[in-house]
Amino acid sequence: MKNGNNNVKAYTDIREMYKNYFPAFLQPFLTWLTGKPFAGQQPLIIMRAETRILLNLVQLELGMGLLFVTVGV
Amino acid sequence: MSELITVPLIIFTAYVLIVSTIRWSIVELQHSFIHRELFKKSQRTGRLITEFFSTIFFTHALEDYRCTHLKHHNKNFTFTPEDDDFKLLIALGFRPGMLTQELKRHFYRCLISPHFHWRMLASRFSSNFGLGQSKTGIYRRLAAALWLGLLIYSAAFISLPAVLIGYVIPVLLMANIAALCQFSTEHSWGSASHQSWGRFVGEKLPTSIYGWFTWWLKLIFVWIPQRMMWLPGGLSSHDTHHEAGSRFDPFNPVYSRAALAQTGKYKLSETWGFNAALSRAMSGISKANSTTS
Repeated sequence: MKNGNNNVKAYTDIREMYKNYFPAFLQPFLTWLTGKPFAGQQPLIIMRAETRILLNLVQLELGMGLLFVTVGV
Repeated sequence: MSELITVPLIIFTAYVLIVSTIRWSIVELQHSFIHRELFKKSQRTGRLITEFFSTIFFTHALEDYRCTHLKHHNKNFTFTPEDDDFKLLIALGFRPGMLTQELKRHFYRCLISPHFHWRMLASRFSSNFGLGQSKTGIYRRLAAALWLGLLIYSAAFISLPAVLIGYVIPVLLMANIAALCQFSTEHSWGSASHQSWGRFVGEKLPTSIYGWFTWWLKLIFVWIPQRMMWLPGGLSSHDTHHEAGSRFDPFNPVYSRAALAQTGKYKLSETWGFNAALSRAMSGISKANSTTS
């Protein structure tokens, strides 16, 4: 992974550990996953309520679509 | 042979997506609406949208959720046995004074307990149909009745397996489990210190090949589903909602929490992983005064 810094034991903060080990393009995903940004991280986009509603509607449709395609429900 | 692997995987993915949306519709959409953080200029639109979701998912109707949740924020009741969430935990058998490990074992038993699912479903359906102490209005009840009728018709005349697999399992059962995971890790129920904490997902990076193998497996099959079903939206930062109130941005929760933490004005702590959050919450119940039960 990036930086050649494989000394994972040096970090006590998990999020900072991820920041120093994984490449930059994975950091937004890791921030979403962990629920915590690394120190100084800025959001890629500022979310609005309407965007979140739309995303969740898409998420629901995707879930229902997968069920429909797989088991015909 | 490959279908034996791919079909369950796809169904699992579908369930994660559906349950995540159900939980989001409560903990972010409905929650933000009753706190007047959403649809400020159009309460009617907000009510329609939140009630649409609560109807199709048979989650608690808006007025009942509003009563319960605002009481949760009332400092006279928060985290006490008068708090409906803590009251439910006590009714499910999470007793103050029990050992932490006993409480944790009880939690895992609850997940598959018919009593637990019955209580949760009874509460959800009572709210939808205006039974007991529910404040649900007549139109909302009619909508729920119409939706229930549609589901029963589909089960009876179209496909019972489709309704069971496509609705009953994810919407009625798995959503109960996700809800229990949420409120049984949320606060130090019964504790005088009234604690909340950030709940973060993941663990330290491994240092062996086997460790990396399990780390990636956990990422795909544990942590992503946890983030989506247990902590959808801004729930990982829910402690900041209690600590900072309206200063907390619920639609950019992760960065809002980090910014507020930087100010040093708020007591914000954190747990990593489900087990740590569960242990902390159950420890609070364990230490709570047993006379409060």
